[in-house]
Amino acid sequence: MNLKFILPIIVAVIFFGVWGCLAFINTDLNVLPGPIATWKALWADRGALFAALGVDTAAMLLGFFLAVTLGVLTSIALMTYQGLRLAFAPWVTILRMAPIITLAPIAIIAPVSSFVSVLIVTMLACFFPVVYVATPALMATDKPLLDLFTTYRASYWQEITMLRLPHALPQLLTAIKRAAIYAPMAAIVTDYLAGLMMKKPGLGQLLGQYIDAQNYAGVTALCILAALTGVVMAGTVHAISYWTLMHWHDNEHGHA
Amino acid sequence: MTTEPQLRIEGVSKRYANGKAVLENFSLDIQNEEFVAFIGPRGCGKSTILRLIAGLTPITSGQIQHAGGGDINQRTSYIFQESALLPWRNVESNVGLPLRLRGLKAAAISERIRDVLKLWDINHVSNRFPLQLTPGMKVRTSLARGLITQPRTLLLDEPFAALDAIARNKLSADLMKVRQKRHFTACLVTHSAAEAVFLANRVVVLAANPGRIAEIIDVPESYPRKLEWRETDAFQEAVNQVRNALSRVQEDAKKA
Repeated sequence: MNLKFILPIIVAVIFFGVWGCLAFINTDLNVLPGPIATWKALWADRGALFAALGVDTAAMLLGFFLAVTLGVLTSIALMTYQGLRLAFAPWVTILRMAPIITLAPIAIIAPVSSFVSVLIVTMLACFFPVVYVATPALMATDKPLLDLFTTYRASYWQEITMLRLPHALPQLLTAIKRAAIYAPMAAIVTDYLAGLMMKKPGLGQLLGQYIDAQNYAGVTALCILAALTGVVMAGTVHAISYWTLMHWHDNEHGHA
Repeated sequence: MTTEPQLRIEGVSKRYANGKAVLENFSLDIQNEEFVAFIGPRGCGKSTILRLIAGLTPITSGQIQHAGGGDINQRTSYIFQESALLPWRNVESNVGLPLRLRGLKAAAISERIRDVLKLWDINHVSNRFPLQLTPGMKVRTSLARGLITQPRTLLLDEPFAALDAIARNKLSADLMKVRQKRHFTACLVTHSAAEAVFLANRVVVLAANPGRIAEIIDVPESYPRKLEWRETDAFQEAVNQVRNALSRVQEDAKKA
């Protein structure tokens, strides 16, 4: 086994060791459950936790895919029309930096259903980071490649689909990876606020229940589950990115 | 050679938006299957001439006529200095790109792709991506892509600039061989007097500010020309003629 595998394992062991020690010292406070208590809570409540994750996941995934699709289409429009770009670019920059929590109240003023609320907030949280990166990336296509397509009389859509989009793919996938990390956070915060409208609790509502019951091991287990969801989503995008770009993007070979 | 020129450049001028003249009243007839090389100091508009012929840059005044009329892009292919290969496509796919852009299906173009890959001796790397190619292979791929549309005119914008001397000579010799099989008119922009003399029927020496024809030097040696010809006195004499013309252009520029 080489250092690439050994060193991260050592870091994980140190992390769990420190976590366990801190939890042991703070036993009386009961606010920092140790790794074993957290694992026990996760195992004991696995039914409720995974059911809650399932409730949020459908809306979250749909919101994420809609955000990526609409984000790319919006970027194509902004790239094509200078007027649109001038009008919307400052707002895209501002909204990209807006913390998700400020978007979450939308969940309360849109009392259609919790599913729709989670979907909308997830979509908004993921949409602006995608547009913010995709628009300049689509505009930064190499001039000789654009000239090449001009000499072969490529149509507008041929230029978009066969040149600009694949050319922007490295930056686009990085933005999508970031959006994949935002998605679970947006979904849980929204569910926390809007979850009361749901028949079955999502992770946000379950979080509220755990806090009310002072079940901090449950809270920690839930947070870890949410973080893992983000990691799985970002990891999936990373894998797609690796296999798509491995032949042509130096960074994907690790020797950039 | 026919009496009707393949390309007729008549009184062409090109000015930038700031009024700076790049080319002034430039006229030249290029005969069918002729090989013309443009050489001159920086800023003399060598590449601009090719871009005007290809329709990549609009003409300010004057006109360029292609024999037979019709769509310029059906009749010319442009070979860029940077090879302009799409990094996400392998060699075969890059070479077939112009035909795909014309809407032809993969099955319909596979034979034509095989032909040009063989012509440029790159059939053994057909599945490799640009990142995996040597600079010489990239240029060969670019040339193969240029010829797949069977153009009447090939516009070569310093295609060998990124290569070392040995690779340049080998590719020049191979270009000679290919031209014996595929008969096309060629316009080459180069900084190398030896390359211009080896490849061209006529070497057009340009003066700068604004770009204009200073001298035209005929190279009477018949085709096919072999690398051994470069060792002869006749070749050296022609190269010296071009270098002397370039010196005169530079002297005149200093006096002006």
